[in-house]
Amino acid sequence: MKKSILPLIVMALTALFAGATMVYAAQADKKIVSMKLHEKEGLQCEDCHGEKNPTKADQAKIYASCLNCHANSDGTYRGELDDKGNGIEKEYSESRKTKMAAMHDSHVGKLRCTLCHTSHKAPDNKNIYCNYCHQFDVKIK
Amino acid sequence: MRLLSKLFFILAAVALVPAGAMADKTMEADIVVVGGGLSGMSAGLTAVQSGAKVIVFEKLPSLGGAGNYPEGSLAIGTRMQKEEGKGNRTPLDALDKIVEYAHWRVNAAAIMALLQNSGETHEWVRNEGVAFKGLKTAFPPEKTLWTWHIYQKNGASVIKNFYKKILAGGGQIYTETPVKKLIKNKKGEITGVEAVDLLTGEKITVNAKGGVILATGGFANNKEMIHKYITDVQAPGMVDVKLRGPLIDGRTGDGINMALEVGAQLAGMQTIAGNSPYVNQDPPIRQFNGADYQKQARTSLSQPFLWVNKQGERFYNESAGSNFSDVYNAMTMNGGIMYSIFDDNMRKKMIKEGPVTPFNAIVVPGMPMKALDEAIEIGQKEGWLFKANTLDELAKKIGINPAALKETVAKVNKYAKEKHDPDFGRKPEHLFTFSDKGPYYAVEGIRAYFLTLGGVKINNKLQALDMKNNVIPGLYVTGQDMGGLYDSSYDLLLEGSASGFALTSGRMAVKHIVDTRLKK
Repeated sequence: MKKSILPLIVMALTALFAGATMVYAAQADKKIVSMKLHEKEGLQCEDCHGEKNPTKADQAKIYASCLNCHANSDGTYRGELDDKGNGIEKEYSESRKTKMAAMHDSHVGKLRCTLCHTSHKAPDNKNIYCNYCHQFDVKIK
Repeated sequence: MRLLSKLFFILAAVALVPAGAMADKTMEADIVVVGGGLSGMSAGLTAVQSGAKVIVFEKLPSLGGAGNYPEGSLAIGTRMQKEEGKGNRTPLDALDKIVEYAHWRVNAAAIMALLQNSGETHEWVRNEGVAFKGLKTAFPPEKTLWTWHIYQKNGASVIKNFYKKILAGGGQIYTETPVKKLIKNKKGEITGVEAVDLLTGEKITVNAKGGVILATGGFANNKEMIHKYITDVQAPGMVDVKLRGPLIDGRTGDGINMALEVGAQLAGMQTIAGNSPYVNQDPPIRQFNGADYQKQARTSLSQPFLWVNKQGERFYNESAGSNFSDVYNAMTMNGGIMYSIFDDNMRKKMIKEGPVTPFNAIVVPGMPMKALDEAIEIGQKEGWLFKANTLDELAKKIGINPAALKETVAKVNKYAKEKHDPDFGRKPEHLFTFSDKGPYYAVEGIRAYFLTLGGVKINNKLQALDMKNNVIPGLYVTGQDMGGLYDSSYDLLLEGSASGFALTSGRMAVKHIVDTRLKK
């Protein structure tokens, strides 16, 4: 009995990797739009996903990867900070008015970067997360 | 061979399921908070500062929810009231008004506990560094309780201040992680929760030594529950009510439904916090936080020129147009729709001098309504504002009997001349004469709401009660998940009560857990 199951497990694992590669290949075909610079810099899947052949987006790992390069001193990314550690406000256009906001020092908590900064598909500039309440006239790079 | 390939298929399928979906993580905590809005953040920070290990779960990617919006919060007995010379109201004064308003059909003991703790809660918020503008009221000095403490930057500033301190103090906040179930032991005690990480599919079980605090914000965005529980939504012939809420709105009754599953009793489910009138433009929230023309269109709708119902008759004292809760009720008695009528002089007056009566703290007297003409233009295109050269023509455009409208206008002109409104008691200074020359304008108003007010039945320690009115140990209810604090309507005299009670209840629940269940 044992003898006959072992090859099946091996086959199943092979299938898992085959599937993984397929998923990965399909994603890699699409152009990285919002984080194209990453591609130019020669970053590999592993650099963000934490594994060579990712089958899914483990957001906790990805968030940690973003912060590896982009974090402020306190281990979060909150944009440019002032002496007191508060986000420096910049001018944005909102509802035809100038609004001061520190967009990355958000009042709604530690948002995961990929909510706005998508990597494998074009960012939805109309519906950046802030704009479910706000109406910032801003585009994701 | 066939069998073999079948087995292979099954094994392959099992292996392909993301590892996370099968994994199960168990964590230990003193307190679990379900929901990351104002109540949840208040509970979270109070817990951290009491030395309790706290985990906050929020199902959306962001914190704060509808708690980002409040302009100000209720508190009684604060430094700010003393500083501004408005500090002579006591919790007892407020309670007297509340029970009179609600004919004692409310949980007076729980309300009193919240009122008594509201002052200390506000001082705490202020001491944490949240900036305030000062006190504001929509009521005349002889009537107001001066409870509304206005933030510099809305409830959002509380969320931002608190979430950082919760994390810095060792509290944990899980976003995109809805709690799915309360765990109840054989003794009937609530001992923890089951949550799911939406991104990995991982199931998280938390054992909460001290208890679980429900802070999920009510059921404003659950259409099915709204239609099931809110009686005035189901009445025949009513124009449907609209939710004035954020475009991503997690308030779908999670806390209330999970409490029901463990045998909790509900109270006051029939009541929503009406907020009317609103212009019939989607989404209504933009009239609260959008472009100037949207805010000013909404403001023009509540001005004391002339309001008529579908019959072309007056139905309300327009002087009280800022009382959005009373307006909601009066509109409910009139099919859920109204028209605000004004002439060209009134239009010019609004543009030059601003509104006669305020729209919340958003567009207030003295603030010229320079975007009104833009509103008139867009409104006509979108079909919620009408302009005509004669009253006959205007009446036809809004589907009202022209004779009835003209008769009402003539009546109002007579009252303006006499400086007395014998029908509804509009203030003499709010009685304006309509010109006999056009153009005339009509803005269509519908009903909106922004909160649900019913929820889990509680005692004055904010503990959930079961069907026999016994405490369900370990289960606490806060904010809009609390039921029985309001009767038929949102009591506006208690300005800022929903957000004030949210902050106060989160803090009270944690303090009770720390002082009792975690002391053993």
